[in-house]
Amino acid sequence: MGIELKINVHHVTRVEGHGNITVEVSGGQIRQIRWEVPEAPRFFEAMVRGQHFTDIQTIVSRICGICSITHSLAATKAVEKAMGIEVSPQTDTLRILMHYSEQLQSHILHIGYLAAPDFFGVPSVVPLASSALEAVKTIVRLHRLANEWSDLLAGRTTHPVTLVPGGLTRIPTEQQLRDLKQRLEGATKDLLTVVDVVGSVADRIPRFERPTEYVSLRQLDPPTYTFYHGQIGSTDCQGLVPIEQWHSVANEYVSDQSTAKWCRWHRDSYAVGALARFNNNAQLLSPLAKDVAARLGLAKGCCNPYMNTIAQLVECAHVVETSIQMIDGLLQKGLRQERPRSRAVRPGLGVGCVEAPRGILFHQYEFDKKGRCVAADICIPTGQNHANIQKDMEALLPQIMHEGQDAVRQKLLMLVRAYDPCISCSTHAIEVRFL
Amino acid sequence: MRPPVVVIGLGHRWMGDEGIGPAIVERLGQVPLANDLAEYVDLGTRGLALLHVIDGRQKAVIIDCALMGLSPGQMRRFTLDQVAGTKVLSGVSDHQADLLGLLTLAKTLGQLPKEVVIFGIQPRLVGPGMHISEDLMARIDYYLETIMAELGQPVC
Repeated sequence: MGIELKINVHHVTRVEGHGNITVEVSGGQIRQIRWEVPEAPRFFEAMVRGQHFTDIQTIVSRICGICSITHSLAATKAVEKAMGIEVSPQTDTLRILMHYSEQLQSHILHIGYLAAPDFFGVPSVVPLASSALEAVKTIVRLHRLANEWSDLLAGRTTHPVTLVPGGLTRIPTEQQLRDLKQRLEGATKDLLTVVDVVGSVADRIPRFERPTEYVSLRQLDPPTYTFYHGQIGSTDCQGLVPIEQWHSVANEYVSDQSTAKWCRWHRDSYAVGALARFNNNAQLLSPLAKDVAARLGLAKGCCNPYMNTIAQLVECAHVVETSIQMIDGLLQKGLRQERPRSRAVRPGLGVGCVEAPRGILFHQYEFDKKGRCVAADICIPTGQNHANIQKDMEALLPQIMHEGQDAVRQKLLMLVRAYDPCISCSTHAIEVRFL
Repeated sequence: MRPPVVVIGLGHRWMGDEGIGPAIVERLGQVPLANDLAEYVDLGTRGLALLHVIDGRQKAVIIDCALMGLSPGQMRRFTLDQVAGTKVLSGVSDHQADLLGLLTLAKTLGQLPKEVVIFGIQPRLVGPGMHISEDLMARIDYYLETIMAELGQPVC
């Protein structure tokens, strides 16, 4: 008798938003394996039409409650491009510092709260605290640092208020930057604790490889492990594609199993995110980040999607170490109070591209002569990963289906979680009964 | 140095009565308190950050929209040992956080304030929109007075 499997996961737990997994194996034959995104579209591209260019970054920050800084930065860059505004080097550095806070915030959230329970065989971080108390305390401490770092640079933890076209409405004081630097230096020890904990359970990371295309920003001048500047790079091609040509990279198309569009470039799918950035730029990581990668067995060319979580931890080390250097640079030059730069309003089109924690993000806007938005096009990283998740599942299932229903289910759940998908937002009311 | 008491409003202000916690905290923040007794925090939907804002406090007062089987607008004060959570969650994330689960986590971590008081307010409608129902708005002064009394402050 052949293998029989019937798996319906509605919805995948411990991811941000709702996605489904459907598997049907009958008589040893795979009848169905599907990764589905059933959520309703949210129409942000329609919402911003008619809005003034100065309001765009505030509106689109609401696309996400986790990577809101990233969305605001991408939008601000696009608006500035359209209006011909160039920001000062100080603004540029402070924005990157702000962006790094969100990388740490999002990555630690995923590593500690969403992925770690799988490594320890518990359903969530709540029971994990009983068995790995110090590890969870460390995660909470790092998450708090990242939140407060965002507060300082962005004006609040989520949905930044300091970002405007041309600059920043508020900058930290030099003393606040010195305090932040001190906390970041202290965080290095915490990060190494997390590395040790993850290293102790690394054998639970499934060994699965599927070569695919990895797409991310690459910055050559100066060579940088970039989240913010650069052009579009891929492990499947040598040259770089200007961000203005992002449509020729994403090649979005509609899939009947998803309300989100899928993407493909040189192959029938590609991956974005920490592992993609690592595979394109690993040689440019900070020394500590390189050390973390070596300790956790992550090497350039890795095509195990489960290792994306490890790549995120490597990037945590990178952003912390690099931020310390950036703060030193700012303090050496001395902070100047600058007014946001402006230019005469003009019609135009602009593209902004940054790396969200989950991968490369494109924002494109077109404005009329009054500075009102007439068209918007946004392509988010999780959308770019959907086809790759599907292809991974198709390749993985034949390798593991003999392991039984529960093991297959768990490995598919872990696969989706490894991509750290960010699918939507929901409400948070409590529900109780009185004892 | 953090004030010993934190008053936290939880909820999504774009989801109707779900936003009653932040709405109350916003109003409370306009009333000066003696001796920097308390800090008011609109935590919005950042559930996980609850762990950070209650750490190191003596008392946390949390105001949240709560499905308690009461009439819309009714407010009830309770402590952790007086309720059991009935919310079915698929995990803990920034999109799905359960207040009671997070407080349990804080307790395990040794970061729970000595005293945690929750004011639950039964909603009329939780759904898209920034409007809070009349059932709740009609009682807003009562909510404020009750919470000020909880803080040992004169009724405003």
